[in-house]
Amino acid sequence: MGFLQFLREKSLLTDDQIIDGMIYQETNKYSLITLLKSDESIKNEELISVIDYANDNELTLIESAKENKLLNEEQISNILTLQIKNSSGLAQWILNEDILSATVLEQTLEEFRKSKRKLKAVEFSEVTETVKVKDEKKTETNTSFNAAALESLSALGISADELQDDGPNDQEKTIKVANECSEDQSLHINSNGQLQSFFTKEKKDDLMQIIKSLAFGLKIEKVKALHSEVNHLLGVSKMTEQVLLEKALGALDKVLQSIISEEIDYTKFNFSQVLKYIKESIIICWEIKEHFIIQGNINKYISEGESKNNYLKNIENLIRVNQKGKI
Amino acid sequence: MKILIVDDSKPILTMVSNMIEELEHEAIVAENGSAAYDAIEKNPNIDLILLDWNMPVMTGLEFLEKNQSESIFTIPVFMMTTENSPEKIQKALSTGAVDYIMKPFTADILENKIELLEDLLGV
Repeated sequence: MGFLQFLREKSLLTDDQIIDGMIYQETNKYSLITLLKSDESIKNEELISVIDYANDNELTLIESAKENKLLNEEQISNILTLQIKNSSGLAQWILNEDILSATVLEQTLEEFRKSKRKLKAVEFSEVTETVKVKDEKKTETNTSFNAAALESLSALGISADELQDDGPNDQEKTIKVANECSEDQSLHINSNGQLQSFFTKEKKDDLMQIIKSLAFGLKIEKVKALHSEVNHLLGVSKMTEQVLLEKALGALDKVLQSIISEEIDYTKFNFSQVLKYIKESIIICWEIKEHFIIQGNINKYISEGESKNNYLKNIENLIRVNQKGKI
Repeated sequence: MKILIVDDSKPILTMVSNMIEELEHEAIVAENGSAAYDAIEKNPNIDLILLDWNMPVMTGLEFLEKNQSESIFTIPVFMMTTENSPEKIQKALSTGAVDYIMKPFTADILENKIELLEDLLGV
């Protein structure tokens, strides 16, 4: 679970803020896959196995890459240096946008970190330590970190002098934790070529064809075929860190699993209605992908009221089917 | 759309036929599953079947099972039923139906179902 999801579960962010946060992440990310792909000895099959392993074991991509020995400490350090240098943390954004106070954010980040530790997720202290042993990068990191901290504190109405005179204070600690959190949030990738090559128009047409065939009757083998394709796209979305796609496809994936295991109570949700949600989900995912590939980002798509509403409504519908539509 | 209504109740056949015509679709009727196969043979371009569950000669479920094993037609089927147990509905769906309508139903309900189907089929 990412920090955005954690904040949502705590009811600290509205749906609009969740989407804005996703947009922020989409446009401020660092390429794990680009890094892996820069090593020409790594084959696409190995990257796919990283995704599958992450899915199967509920790991993050970075954890999976580490466990599959495709990512070493130095590479993690490189990513962290990049992201800290550019001060793109999600928590930093939350502070800058005045969404949460520094105090509330700090408390929430601590809770988040505790929950991550419990789940044996990314160990922030470990990766931070890796950065520290690199003297040259350490200096660069601290400079950038302080710059980022000052910028955010300024947004909070705290001057640089106050910070320097008083030494570390609550706000500074907050920024520090915020940056640590951003390490998790920003270990993203920007590999639209990967997405483009997997989610082609032919693929989309194939998916729509399967959906159309299901309108002639529920055939589990066809749902399985659809599920297999969606699962693959979900993996690619994770691989390319397309958070919006990942959320939509994740909800769709669960519904398809429920149909296959015959858990849906069709007296609560008619199959054709469920099928309509599935079709809408594929169309929305295609539109998101197209905006990203053609326009370089999904901001325009998701900033339009109708698109945003359709996106949220579709996920809500799929979640409703999966949660309330079960036998 | 050309819609085949399969029901052993003549009042139901008349009522649903009227609804379908009100909705500007074409209605064909059959009194049981076996008669429905005859109707399909004579009318190859049927777009939708509204199928009763309990009928003499061949029930709705037997009608679906026959098609499932012999692949006679590829036409969406809506069950018209008073059965509302999840198991029964699941059985109908797993045998080839795509949707069901609880009896009694209104023209609005039928229209919504048809529109949903048309959307899925890209009509």
